[in-house]
Amino acid sequence: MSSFAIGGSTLVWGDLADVRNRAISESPNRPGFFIGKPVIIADVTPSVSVDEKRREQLEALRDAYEEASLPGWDGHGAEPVSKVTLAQALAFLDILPSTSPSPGMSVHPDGELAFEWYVGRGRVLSVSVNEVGRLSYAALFGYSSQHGTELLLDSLPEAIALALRRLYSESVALQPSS
Amino acid sequence: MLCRFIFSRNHFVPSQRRVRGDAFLPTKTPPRETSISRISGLKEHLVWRSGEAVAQESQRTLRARGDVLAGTVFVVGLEVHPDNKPKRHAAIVGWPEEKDRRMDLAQKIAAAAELHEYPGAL
Repeated sequence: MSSFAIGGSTLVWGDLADVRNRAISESPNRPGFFIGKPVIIADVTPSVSVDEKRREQLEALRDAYEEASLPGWDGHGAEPVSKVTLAQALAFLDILPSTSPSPGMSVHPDGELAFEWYVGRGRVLSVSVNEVGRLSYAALFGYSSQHGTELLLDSLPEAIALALRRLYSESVALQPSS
Repeated sequence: MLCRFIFSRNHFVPSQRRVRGDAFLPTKTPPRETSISRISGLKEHLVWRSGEAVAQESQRTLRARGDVLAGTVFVVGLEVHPDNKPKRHAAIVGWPEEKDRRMDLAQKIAAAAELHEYPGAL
């Protein structure tokens, strides 16, 4: 069984639901309208329905979290990732369409968890999530760029979905024809 | 030439030979700044030695560095403030308040940066 170490203890997949529950009740200054996705234990219980792609995403998230769980993890005085932020990141993964490419994951020096889609030099979309479910995003499309802020609700914000679509549609359009 | 020493496995992608924008983001609390070293004219092994010193001080594992021209930083509207503490140290300053704008600038710097993986103790 895959496990997930948080705060010195080892969690199993099912415990991630508990992390998410606690995050919803402990999150500071949480806007009343943020719920994320309802906690459904089946979502995180190991079973044959958890596909390989989702498992890899959770493992990447775990790796990013574990590496950045202590203050100063980046060698330059970075903030650690909190369990609340981890829970928000899990909620973000939940709202990603199953057809979207898997993002790379990392942690920002301010303790926000980040998701990145990269299709080539200067063509990238990055989305970070903080403790209260604020999504900050920035995209480069060659010579043009786009950035903004959205809230983590129950579906992928339109602006981010459009940026993701543009990133991949333009990268296909730029492929040399055979 | 400026370089940002990288201690996080997730701040660069070896298979794509690139540094992520995340590596250039500044500290959370004001004054927001990104710690860098000025490496123009410095021999390669001395650049790494400088990184090793940072690693020793912060007790982190040195993994890579991202090199970028100072001009790139200026073009995106940020500034480089040398303080020489330690020698050749400087900071990228002038970061905006808004997180998404900081990400935008960091991505643009990273797009022009060159990845160098740490070869181990020289």
